[in-house]
Amino acid sequence: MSLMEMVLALLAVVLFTTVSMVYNRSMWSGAEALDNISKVVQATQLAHSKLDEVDAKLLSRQVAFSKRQINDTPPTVAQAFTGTTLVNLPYSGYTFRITYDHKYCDSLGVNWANQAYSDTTNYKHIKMTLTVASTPGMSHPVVLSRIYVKTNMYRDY
Amino acid sequence: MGALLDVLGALMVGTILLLMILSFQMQLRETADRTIYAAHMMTHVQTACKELNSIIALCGVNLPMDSVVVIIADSTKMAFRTYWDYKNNVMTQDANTLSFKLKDSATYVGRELEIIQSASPIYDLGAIFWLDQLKFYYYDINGNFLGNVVTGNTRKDIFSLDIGMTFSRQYPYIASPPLKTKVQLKCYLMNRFLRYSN
Repeated sequence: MSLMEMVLALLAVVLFTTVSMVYNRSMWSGAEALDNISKVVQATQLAHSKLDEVDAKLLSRQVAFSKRQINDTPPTVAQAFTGTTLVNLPYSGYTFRITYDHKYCDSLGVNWANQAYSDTTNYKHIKMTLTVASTPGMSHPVVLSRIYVKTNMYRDY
Repeated sequence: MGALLDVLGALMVGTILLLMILSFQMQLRETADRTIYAAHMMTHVQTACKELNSIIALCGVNLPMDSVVVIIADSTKMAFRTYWDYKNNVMTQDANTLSFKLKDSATYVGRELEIIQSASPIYDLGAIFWLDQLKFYYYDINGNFLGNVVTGNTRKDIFSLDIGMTFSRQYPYIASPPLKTKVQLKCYLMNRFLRYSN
């Protein structure tokens, strides 16, 4: 075998290995994406249940839509569901970080221009947005919003 | 002799390459099939969660606050009362009982979730299958854990529950393990929360 033939054979091996590695990586990415899907499904369910929790507590009047005095009990939705919390789901084995964000909005969900709100202002709509993230795993967090409308079933003024 | 050795060597290398390509092709096909199977399964998991949540939301419709709404609160089965007829989508004069438990379907879909309304299975609901394990966890109005099994008057304190489900689907390739996925679903008994305020 001449030197040229040896070089050609080596190049063929390199080419074949590169192609194999690229395909292998694609397959691994696919497998990782599948694992990611189950996390996304779980995160979506969690976000829905947390938004349901707000509904349930509004119905039971454990939280108020708004109130007359800042120190009145119970707390408002904005006071009770705020900040970031870690939620551990022992059955599915995942831990998620949930961030609550609320904005006062109109009936179409368009945020009010002036967000310098007060808990005692008589607002009619609240848009609650949840961001559910998991590390490691999900490349993008799940973000869900729900608009809560004041009704006579809720505690307020 | 030298030429014969060259031919034999080339044949060996060619065979090895061919085997590699074949096994590579098999792996690609297996991964593609697995992806399709998993995608189907995740769609099914989503549908199952949505259906379960919508059924459990009917728990306690028209029942007073001091009545036992969740009549069976076990770790693997659950039953509740409601005046809403889920099957016919109407309010009824008498309370209906809806119950959930795992059942072996004796088909390729494995175990399924049997949902029964007043002794008659809800067939047209769309079965929840590929379900390997089902577990219930019960909570009071403040989210405190009451247990996996709740009996007696403590059942009146149930306001929400967690449902743990493990879905498992057999894979077409014999050597491959089954696809498994776990999901934990929280359901609020909205009618109980609504009654609590009055």
